[in-house]
Amino acid sequence: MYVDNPDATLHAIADQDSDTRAARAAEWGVGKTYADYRELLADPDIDAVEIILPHHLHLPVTSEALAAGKHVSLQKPMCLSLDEADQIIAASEASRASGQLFRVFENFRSYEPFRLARKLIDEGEIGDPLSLRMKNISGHGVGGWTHTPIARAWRSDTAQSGGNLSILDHGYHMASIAMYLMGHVESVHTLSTRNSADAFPSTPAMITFRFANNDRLGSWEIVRAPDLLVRTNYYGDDEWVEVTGTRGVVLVNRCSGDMLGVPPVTLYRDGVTRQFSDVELHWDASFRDGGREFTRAIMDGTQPDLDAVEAKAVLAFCLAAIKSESDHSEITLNEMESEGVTG
Amino acid sequence: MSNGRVKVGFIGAGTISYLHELGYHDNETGELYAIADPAPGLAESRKEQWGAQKAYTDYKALLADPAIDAVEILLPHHLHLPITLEALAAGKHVSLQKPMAISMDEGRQIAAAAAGSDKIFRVVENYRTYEPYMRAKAMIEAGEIGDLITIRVMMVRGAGKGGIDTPPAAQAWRDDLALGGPAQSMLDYGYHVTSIVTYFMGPIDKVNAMSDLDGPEGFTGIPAVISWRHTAGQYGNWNMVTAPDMMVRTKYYPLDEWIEITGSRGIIWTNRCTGDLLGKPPVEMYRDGEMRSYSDMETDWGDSFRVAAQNFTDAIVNGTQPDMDGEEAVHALAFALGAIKSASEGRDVKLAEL
Repeated sequence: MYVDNPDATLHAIADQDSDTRAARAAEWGVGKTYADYRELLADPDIDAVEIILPHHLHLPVTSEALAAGKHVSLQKPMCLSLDEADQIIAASEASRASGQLFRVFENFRSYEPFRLARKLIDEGEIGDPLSLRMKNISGHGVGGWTHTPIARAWRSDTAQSGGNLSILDHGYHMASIAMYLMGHVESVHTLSTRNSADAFPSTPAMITFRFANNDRLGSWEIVRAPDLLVRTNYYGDDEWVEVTGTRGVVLVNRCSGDMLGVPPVTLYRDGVTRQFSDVELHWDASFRDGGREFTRAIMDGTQPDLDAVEAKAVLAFCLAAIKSESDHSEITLNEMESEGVTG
Repeated sequence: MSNGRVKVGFIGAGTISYLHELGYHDNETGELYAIADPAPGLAESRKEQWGAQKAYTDYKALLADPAIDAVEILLPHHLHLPITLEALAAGKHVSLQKPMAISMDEGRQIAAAAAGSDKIFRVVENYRTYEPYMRAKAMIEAGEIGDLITIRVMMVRGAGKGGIDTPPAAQAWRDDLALGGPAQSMLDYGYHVTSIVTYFMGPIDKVNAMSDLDGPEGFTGIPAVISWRHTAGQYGNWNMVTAPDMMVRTKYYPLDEWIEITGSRGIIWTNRCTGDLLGKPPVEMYRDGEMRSYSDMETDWGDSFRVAAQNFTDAIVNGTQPDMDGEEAVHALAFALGAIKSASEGRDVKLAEL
């Protein structure tokens, strides 16, 4: 995010593990390291922080960072419950008076093919958007990352990760992009066979939803195909999104993987199919661009996408999908307001 | 079968009969012998047009004609039950146009009558004889994509460019709940989808549908999004939308479908059906890092009616059961009616409860 960033430098890193700290500092040319994040927060040279922690720490560390006068970019998912989200909203509103920015960072919104799709929709290329279909497919990744045992360990602990990674953790990307392209969601239904012994327990799942205040409907498939080769530089999965409007269809044909090898964005309208390949395809560019948006917003004093209220709405979508899975009924996001922590 | 070919009578000569007639042009096992329709002059003019032998205004007279071996029932949906029962009782083989019926009770009565008859009965749902779908099915059965996990269906109902001009009369009876049945998107049109989904993936355990069940006259129940679980543990979803300004290139109806089937090892897409909206190869497959396009097949949707009629008359000659038998047809009906019940009651519906 901070390579060639004209507005910012990566100034310091805090991590409890000394080897990790030293390795990252050397790799990234960072001058300062801290074993205790509180020392980092106390460093007056630091303007802003990126909170990149296990999910259960998002609320307390965000609150401390805002209290310490830092701008905050919080990695998705926002937190584990709507109650926690409300606390983050309150903290971010309290610190806004002193000019501090808060945002949740969900990088799909900075991924160029999704941005192009949104631009095409905003420009009226497909008429009024009516139907959204999303797919998240994970397979046998070739060429990408290997998860470290540490990253697996905390994610497998429900108290730290919130559990149900397919809908809450990875799903936060999907819920975010659904709202980015089509607006707020009113109610959601999940059909799956939940295997709670699995870190991604809701796989396969079919999630369907209604958007607020109109006839728009959406579906979201989560599937794992163990022997499916997914060419990738990152995770062994991929995402496809299709938006149908009154006049046309726009498709995003890749995201974190590059499974299909087809142009990233397709637009159908009036009997003409257009393929768009003149966009940045590398998924990591979405982190670069997302990082720059954060620091640019700090320089300009503007609010970057997703503010705390919008981020909570994304979280409510995910939590409603999880609740629907166990309740076997359609859940409105409004009724989630009275719900506690998810499992 | 005096000349070795099955003599077939059409009961009903409305819009859909044109498509069914395609099945008797080069059919070596069957001929279109007679047509019955109560509209003045209609059966007669169809007879002349199609080179059939006889025209009737009363279907009972057609059923009483001993020269006729088999009938295709091409009628408003509320007539499917009574006329199927009469036709079987008259000793005719029966091909019944989809949807099978408008209630589970009717569907079960038809299946029971068929099971108790020594004549061949089938429901004809032509997607099952559309070559891109048959190809996809053959690829699945050959193990090309491993074990099946999920299916997604997309249907867009747009504005036609070319295609069939549906007359007001064909729309009028569909608007009448007692004649056409509820939620045409899920029961009438939808029977194609419930049939093809079960064709690919097997029986359904439970279904959920989100829809206000309103929509344009003659096609209520759109927009909708439907999800389900198969008895064997697979899942599916199906989005349906009316896109009034969407140009759909078509020879038939201005709508199109695309389907994606994910297996443990690969994915198969069918990219067109009734229309040709996307202009893509009819079948594609991804597996092992390789994308393959298949265009070596008949993509004209009308050809599916030809194959369907051929299957019917071949089965009569050979004494075999053609697709879909009564039990399978009842299941496709239960899937459609289960989706409608789910949408109206706002809950998951197990097909077993119907």
